[in-house]
Amino acid sequence: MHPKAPLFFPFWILASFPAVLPLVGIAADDAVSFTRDIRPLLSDRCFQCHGPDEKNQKAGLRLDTKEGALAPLDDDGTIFTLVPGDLDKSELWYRITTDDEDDLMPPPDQAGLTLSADEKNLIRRWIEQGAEFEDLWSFVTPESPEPPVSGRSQKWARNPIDHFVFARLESEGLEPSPQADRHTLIRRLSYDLTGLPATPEEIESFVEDKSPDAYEKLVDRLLASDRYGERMAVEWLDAARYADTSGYQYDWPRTMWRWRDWVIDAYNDNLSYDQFITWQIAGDLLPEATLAQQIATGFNRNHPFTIEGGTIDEEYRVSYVSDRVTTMGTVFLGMTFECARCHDHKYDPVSQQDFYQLYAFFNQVDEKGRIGGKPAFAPPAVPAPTEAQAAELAAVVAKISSLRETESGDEAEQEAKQVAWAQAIPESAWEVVRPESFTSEGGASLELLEDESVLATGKNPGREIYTFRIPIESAGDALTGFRVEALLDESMTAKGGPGRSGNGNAVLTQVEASLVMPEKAEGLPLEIASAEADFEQDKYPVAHAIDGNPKSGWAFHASHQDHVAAFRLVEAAEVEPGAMLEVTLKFESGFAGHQFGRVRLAVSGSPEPSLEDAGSQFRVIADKAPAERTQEESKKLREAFLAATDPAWRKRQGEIRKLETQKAELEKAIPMTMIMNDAKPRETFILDRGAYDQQTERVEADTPSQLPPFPEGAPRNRLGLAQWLTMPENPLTARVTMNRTWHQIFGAGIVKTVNDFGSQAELPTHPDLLDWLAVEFVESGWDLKEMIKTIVTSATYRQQSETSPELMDRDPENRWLARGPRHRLSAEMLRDGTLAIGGRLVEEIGGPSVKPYQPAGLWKELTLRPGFMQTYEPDTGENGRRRSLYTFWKRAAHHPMMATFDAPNREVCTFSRGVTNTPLQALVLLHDPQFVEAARGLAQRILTEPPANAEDESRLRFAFLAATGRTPKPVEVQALSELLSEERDAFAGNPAEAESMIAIGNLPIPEGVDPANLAAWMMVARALLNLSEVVTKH
Amino acid sequence: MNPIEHSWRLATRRQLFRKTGVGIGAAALSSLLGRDSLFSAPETSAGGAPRGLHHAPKAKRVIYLFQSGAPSQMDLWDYKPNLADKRGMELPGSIRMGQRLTGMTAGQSNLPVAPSIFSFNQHGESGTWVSELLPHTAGVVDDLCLIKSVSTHAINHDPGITYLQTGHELPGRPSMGAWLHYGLGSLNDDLPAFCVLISNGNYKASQPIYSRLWGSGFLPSSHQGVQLRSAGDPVLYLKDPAFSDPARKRRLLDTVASLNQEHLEETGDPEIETRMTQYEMAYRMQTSVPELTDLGTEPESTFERYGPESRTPGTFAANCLMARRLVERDVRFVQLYHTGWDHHGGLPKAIPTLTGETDQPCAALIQDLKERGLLEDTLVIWGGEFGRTIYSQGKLTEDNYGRDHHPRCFTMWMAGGGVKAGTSYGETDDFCYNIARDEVPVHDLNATILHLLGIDHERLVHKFQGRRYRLTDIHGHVVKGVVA
Repeated sequence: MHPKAPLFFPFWILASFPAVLPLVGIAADDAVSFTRDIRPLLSDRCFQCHGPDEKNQKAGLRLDTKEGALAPLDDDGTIFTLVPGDLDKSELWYRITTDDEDDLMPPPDQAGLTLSADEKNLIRRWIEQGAEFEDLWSFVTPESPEPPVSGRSQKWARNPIDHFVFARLESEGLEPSPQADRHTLIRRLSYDLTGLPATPEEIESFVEDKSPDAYEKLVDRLLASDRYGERMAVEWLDAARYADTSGYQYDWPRTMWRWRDWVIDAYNDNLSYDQFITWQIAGDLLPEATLAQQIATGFNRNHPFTIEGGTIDEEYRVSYVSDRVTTMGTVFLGMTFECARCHDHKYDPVSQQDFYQLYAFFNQVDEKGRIGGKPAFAPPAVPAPTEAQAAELAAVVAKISSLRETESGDEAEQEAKQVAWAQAIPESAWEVVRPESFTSEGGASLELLEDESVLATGKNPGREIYTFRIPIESAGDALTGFRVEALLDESMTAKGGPGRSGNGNAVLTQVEASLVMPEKAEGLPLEIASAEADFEQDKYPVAHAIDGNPKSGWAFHASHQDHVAAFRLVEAAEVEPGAMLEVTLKFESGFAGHQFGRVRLAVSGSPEPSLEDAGSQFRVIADKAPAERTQEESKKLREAFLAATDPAWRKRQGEIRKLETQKAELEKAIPMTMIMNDAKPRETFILDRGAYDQQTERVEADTPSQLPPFPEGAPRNRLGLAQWLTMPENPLTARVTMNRTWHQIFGAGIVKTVNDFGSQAELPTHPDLLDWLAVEFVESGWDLKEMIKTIVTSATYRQQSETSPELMDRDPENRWLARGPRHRLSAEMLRDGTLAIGGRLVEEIGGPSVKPYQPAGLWKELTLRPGFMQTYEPDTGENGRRRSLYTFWKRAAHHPMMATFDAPNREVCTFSRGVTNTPLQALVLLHDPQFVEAARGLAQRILTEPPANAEDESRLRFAFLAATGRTPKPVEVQALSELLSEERDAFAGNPAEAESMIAIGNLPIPEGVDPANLAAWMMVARALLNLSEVVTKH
Repeated sequence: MNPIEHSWRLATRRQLFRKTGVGIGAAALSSLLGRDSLFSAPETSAGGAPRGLHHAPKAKRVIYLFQSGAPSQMDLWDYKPNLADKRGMELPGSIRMGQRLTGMTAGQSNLPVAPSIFSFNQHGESGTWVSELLPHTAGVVDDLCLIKSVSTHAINHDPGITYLQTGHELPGRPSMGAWLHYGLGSLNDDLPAFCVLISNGNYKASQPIYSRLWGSGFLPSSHQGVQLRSAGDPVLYLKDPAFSDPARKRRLLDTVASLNQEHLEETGDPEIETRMTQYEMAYRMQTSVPELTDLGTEPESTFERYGPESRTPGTFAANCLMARRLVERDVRFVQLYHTGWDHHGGLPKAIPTLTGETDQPCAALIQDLKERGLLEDTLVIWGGEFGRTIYSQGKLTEDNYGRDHHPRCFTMWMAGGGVKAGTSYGETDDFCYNIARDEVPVHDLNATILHLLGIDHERLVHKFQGRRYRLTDIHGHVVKGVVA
């Protein structure tokens, strides 16, 4: 087999196996610890074939439990893997030390599994010392440890955290670093708690604040800021794979920002963390779930979904449910459940059955795997109005209902009146009227006949428009509709019409009506609500005569009968004395000569201006005693009566209609947001190898068997699961959350593998501190702000972050915390901070995602398919300068600036972003117009904010403070001064270049500014914004 | 007290991080510099033998010509003369063997066999049968190794292309280029090691692609592919938006560098030093990238070879030419995407457009690399995410048919870098439906590609969330039959 020459063992393998590394330095005389020394080794090298996976325990050996390891290997009971205290009888020892390549373990051809001499030595000593086993530390419920207070630690410590840290430093022979200066502290705190840098004014006021609790006051102020929620949300959005598109092939836009805004609010309101979890896992199952609680469940709907044609529905539905199990496992439990989808976990005590028992909790959603069309959401979803939208809508609804409240009059009197009114309704709603004038645009001769109809003769044009004006006093005081008859006449060519065409048909393409007032030039257009006809030719319904389309219309075949159509107005029109109704009939279908030959008009003031006997229905109702009427009948009668007799009522109805339109528009603008439900109960089966169509054994919803049991009496649904996650006995949730919080602040968790607390995880560097934080967190009532305050007020946090060759040698990653945190800002902090320094940041919480500048064409070049192409249209106004967590997140191509600075594409749950340092980052900071424009902004601040008579040097100091948060040293001032003067000369000699420099972006150029001077300062600003110090939290 | 706390306290403090600390620090630093890890020593040792990760590499660079949408193997490469008299015959159940169909043909009442209407001829000394659609590629067929027996699991585009390029059907894993960048590092100091070029165009059938295909998954994002674009800045944000005078840029960078140096001395933070190095690389890229993309220095004969479209930026032809220029400059992994091969209907009319765009540039690239002596250590790969069905999707007529997705067999080819030139590997059955001999599952294909680059696919691993991940997951065998 291959000998492992060091040449072929590159650095990156070393770098990727941290769990085993700390073993190197254990001295020969120490007691061996199973948890610290042995489990990581056995897990990493042996469990893959001899671990918890029942189907893959080669040679029948299971090494992750004491029972398994001590059981005989053969049927006779003569060979044992482990005989505590006896190396020679322990097969394990022979197997890891033999020269026989066939017997040697781990198999020499397995990459990276070979045991080193030191590692074998550890195992030897462990067996000699009695081969003790311990439970996996993270599965044991934490108990609050006493802080290790000592005389020395008390001198340094500010709170219990520091005693734990100090004890560790002391055992390492290290000293804590001095406290950082105030300039550094306020900058560090501002980024950590709000994601934004401190302003020069804030710095000054903190530096000047001599009160003993100045620091605490600062922490309280920052924690109370709404920016806190925006800052904290970012990592949660990564973890919950939140995005503004649905991923997979077409990556179509979706609306889930109401969930994002809920997260921000939850942090700002300091919703207790157990509720934060419960709402997201099971908010819909809480009694009388509020909208916010339902929105929160979008956590489990943030995964991508596919719209690709031909997709097998169940295959994808299964992958969505699995994604929920995996994500829940990662973010709340620090467990890598994904492995157990296909087989028992290779390392951790999580079986495939455990996986599908968890799966059952999330398998009851009424959802599909393939979503058709171009959906902005996949059901289940609810309308989720913002507070402003809800308030506006409520106001409209209230107005409508107050208008609807009928005035309480004397009911008996009202009843008598409406019965009398109903009985007086004539049998026909229509009164034939005589037009006072009539015209033919097409040039036909029109004459009025005896029966008030108008006959067209003479020229029969291709197209025709008739206009009639009719006095209508007779319609009563309100006009509700009009009627048009197309009548036969012998004068027409084809058997008397009723159309003038060769076959007797006609196409009425448009009907318009208006009220013409005697003194007014402009008529009042009357909106037609609906139309009915005695007969409609197929595909030529009368509705086509009022659809606004000039080509479509009403026709009736060459039937050679009279025809009639009635048109009902949207609102009853108040008729003033002298008013005339103008009716226009258009015949513009393109079928030549298809117009009516003889037209008669009628009007109606009836509440039901229909072709049938309109009054009868009201008379029928009125004949019944009020008690015998149905509710609907009573309403109908009352409304018809009021419409006919009460102008004030009619006015209110008009207002209500307008409000209804407004309400519909408001409702349309309300975003839909995806939620969870349990509306489709399904049986759950273990899926062989995770394949959607390979169902095996049926399982019920339950939690993993090796963790504390499901709480007694809790419902077997997601609500019960949430209770289980947040019960104090759960050994993982609080630890994982506190570790992640530590990671957010210090850049590395106490357990470095923030997403993995299993047996392959790195061990905690400060296990007692982690347990103390976890217990404290639960006992505080899951008060996250309180815990963060405790962390950032510790002496540990307040240390300087400067390092030394000795510290770099001893602890390059700062795991022992002998210095303060120092790492590159996240993509969001970097951009937001730069915009803030440039005075460009627009702060507004929440709302639909926004689109800052990005190079043109980035979306289009990925999707060429017509109908699916998406063009990125940057917001040029204030929305282009909002905080980065509002930037539209397209999974197939997230913003290049963000991607360059390690923001994940959010296709899957991510918590620990990488922190890289690349040439492409330099290009972004140097050239991205967002950053150049911010430099322009800073240059303008430099010119306008210091006093008008300020010298260059004091302006430089102002700029330096704004960018770095501290005052510059002389050498720094000098370097920047030189740049300034050289750039001034250069731009003065090349004004065009100065003009083009200051024109970048869309920040208006202030009047009276010297372009060369502004451009030169802009170069200084660009230099500042590219400093390593500025892009680093330190 | 937590048992680990107890054990930490018992542990003596000596060197707990001393030995490893240096290792991690050095690794972190080296991975950030242009050249790193495996080829960090000179490529050629004193004895003259090249050194690789696990064995001597046959190829140092890769050009991957991805044909998105899935080209039809039986209309291009997999000649089935015996099918001519089976036109219109129902695909026998004994051949289909329960293969699941996509939602697009699952409801179709019959599955009529549709032999290719294109004619095939033998070419080259190898006598390889090639479709009339590929006259240029036919001319270099003796340099190709056809693999007619590639198979996959996926039957839809998204999982199919993701599987081929990341070894897993679902999102989240690193792409092949990212793995290679991670494992092999860069060969040059002033260009990205992993470049991506996407054909532009406007094809009705184009399937979208997505940045995950060149993403780094759980590897550090510095390993993700860098898109070289045909419009705007070739590398995003490459140009200073205001001016181009190198002296001005230099002055800005020098000021930044002097202040960073000051800060480095004060804080001792090695990240500052790395950042200074990266700013220098960014500065060099502002020269090296325009020089790379400037085709003005190419002679007329180059454009004649790659075809007239090679003058139009963003075409497949221009991207092939760019690929040659990239490997000339020792870029490790060049990934091309051409889209539009998804011919569910009207295939006979549609496919000539695609072959018209790609045939000549592919052949030109092979010839060009060969003449420059680059083909011997550059691996060129051509293929799509799956095959297409022998039965017609939609109505089969005299001159028209469509083909649905088919996972069980399809053809890819490789050339250069240690593959057996002028050969065909694997066979499909008479219906071009199942593999008759020498199946090459996706993981085997990828294992073979890594092998040619000097990597044992089982040993290029990254531990993430407790598990060792590989491009080939837990599968894969090197296909010896295609290795020269």
